[in-house]
Amino acid sequence: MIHADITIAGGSYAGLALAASLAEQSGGDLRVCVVSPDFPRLGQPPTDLRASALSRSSLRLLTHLGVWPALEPKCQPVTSIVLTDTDLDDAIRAPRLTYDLQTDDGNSGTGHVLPRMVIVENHFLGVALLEAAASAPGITMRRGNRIAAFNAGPDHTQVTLENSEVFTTRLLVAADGGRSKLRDLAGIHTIGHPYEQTGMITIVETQHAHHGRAVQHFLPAGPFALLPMTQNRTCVTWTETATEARRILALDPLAFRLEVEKRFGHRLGALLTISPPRSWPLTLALARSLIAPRFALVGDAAHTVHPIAGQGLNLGFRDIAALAEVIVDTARLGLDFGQASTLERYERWRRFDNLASAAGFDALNSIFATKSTIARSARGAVLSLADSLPGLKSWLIDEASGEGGAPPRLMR
Amino acid sequence: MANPSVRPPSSSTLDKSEVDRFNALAQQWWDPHGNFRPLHKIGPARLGFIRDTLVAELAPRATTPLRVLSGVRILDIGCGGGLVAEPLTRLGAVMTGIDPAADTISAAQAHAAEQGLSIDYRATRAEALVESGETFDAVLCLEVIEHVPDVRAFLGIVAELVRPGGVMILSTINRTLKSYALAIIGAEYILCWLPVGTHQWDRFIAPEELARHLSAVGLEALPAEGIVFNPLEDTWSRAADTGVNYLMAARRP
Repeated sequence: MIHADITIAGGSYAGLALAASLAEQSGGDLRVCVVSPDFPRLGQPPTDLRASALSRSSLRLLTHLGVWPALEPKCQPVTSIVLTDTDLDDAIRAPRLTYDLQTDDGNSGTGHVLPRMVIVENHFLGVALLEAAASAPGITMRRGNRIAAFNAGPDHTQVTLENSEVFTTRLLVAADGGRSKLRDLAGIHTIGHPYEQTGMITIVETQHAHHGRAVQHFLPAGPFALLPMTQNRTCVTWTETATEARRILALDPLAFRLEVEKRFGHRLGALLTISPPRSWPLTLALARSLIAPRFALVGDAAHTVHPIAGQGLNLGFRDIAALAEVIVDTARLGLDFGQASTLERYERWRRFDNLASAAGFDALNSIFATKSTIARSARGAVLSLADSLPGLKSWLIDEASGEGGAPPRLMR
Repeated sequence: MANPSVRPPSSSTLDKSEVDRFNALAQQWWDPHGNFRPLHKIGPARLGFIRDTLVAELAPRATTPLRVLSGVRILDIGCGGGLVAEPLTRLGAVMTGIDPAADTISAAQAHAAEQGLSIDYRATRAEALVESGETFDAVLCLEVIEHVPDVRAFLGIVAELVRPGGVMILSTINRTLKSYALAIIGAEYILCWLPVGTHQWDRFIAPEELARHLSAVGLEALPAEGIVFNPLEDTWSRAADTGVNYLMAARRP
């Protein structure tokens, strides 16, 4: 007997969004089981302070899932993105490239105009997706457990949980993050390298309004991003070498304030509040394959990209919309969606996009992570050129808002 | 699960080696890379046509979003290992599958039981069903008529199994130069998808000939739809081109 049609390992953004997508597309006809040690907690202080950019195609997915109306008030629309290219010590940071996200075609697959890009606190997104998955038909949540082993057979996969419980499923999906244990168990290797950079984050409240302007400074140690948040807060995300990150994390509040101010500048007036910094190691890891027998990878388990463009979640949502579509299309024919031909369709659809994005963000990071004068003038020239060519710029904006390529149904 | 009228005798009278043989045969039918790979490959396109045609023609009431063929009584003639009967059962159809080969029927039963699907498989021929007076909402003849010596006589028998207001769905191969090149030279000799001698080109039948046969036995033929092979993706999809493989539905008034 098959106990679950689809079993998802991981109850974070990717796992919950996939469960909700499958329920939405199949009308609850598919039995989905989400196994996770933990799920986002309602009404509890967030454990993940990070904020993410959500592109319009991700917002379309959230609209289909019924998540967007409740999430919208918690999102800050981005009105423009300014790229600069300077040294930390340069007094003036001239904008190299400005994306205006307000010139808009108003085009939306769902009949109401969605912003091109918003910034959302990860915590709110997680809670909203949890509510969607919990209220959707056909979904079972298994909290406090992990998948210890699995074994793919011709008709199903046998899954063993850490509490020794055994059940069968047609398809197992790993949405268990960048250091996916299931990916290792499936024998899928990754290519990539640790960036030897540490991601740093703090949230500040400013004296003047940010007006939805996002800023990316490309500093030699790595990118430094100001993401506008609601209530006139700004999420400050930047990368440092591991050594420098350790030094900054050890600073007392006053010394840390000076470090933030040095990077932030004074354009938005005084910094009224500064949250204590958090850090996490950065890696580029790209799975060599997205599938194995009765097994698929989505989200960070498939690709951990550089946060330089804030695209990690958006790539993951594109995986989810594509996988949900091929599964449901196969189920609508009464066929076995765990079979290789269905999973191969998913892989063909997603591999190029994932590879191109990861390589692109990686290249961007390498170009900017240098003090060389030649590299700096070269990238300056590239950014100025990009700024002056409307066609190239709108293509960049479309790619950044996830509008490139053939979109899955859930993103139309 | 198994129908009591099914031959060969129920599993209690079968020895273990027989059961093993049927299971091995079922595995052959259901191995997507095995002997029946071509049938697995054209499965999605064929099933899509069958589902959409039956939904359009019979307007069944879906009991759940995926079970769009709920309660539709379908007969699959030449059902083989159940590659069509099983998916249609998952869509809610009440399936009967017939095949003259008793071994094949036993293999199909073994597989359906393992999948938890209830399908009425019988080792019998269409003629025998006609004698019993049984009729169905829809009758499928998939990749059958190109192996039949007298197509019109065969269709006359099959038409009697369709209830008035019901539908017959056929799939077969057109008789064109392209089908000779692809279905015989390509599939049998070059790609070895099919055993040499599987098909005789002069038995292939053009859509307009098939439509004439159908109307001669009192059915209204609907326009044919093609299935074409995309070599880059190694997939088959539905298309307007009926030059090689095609599907046709016909109504019984």
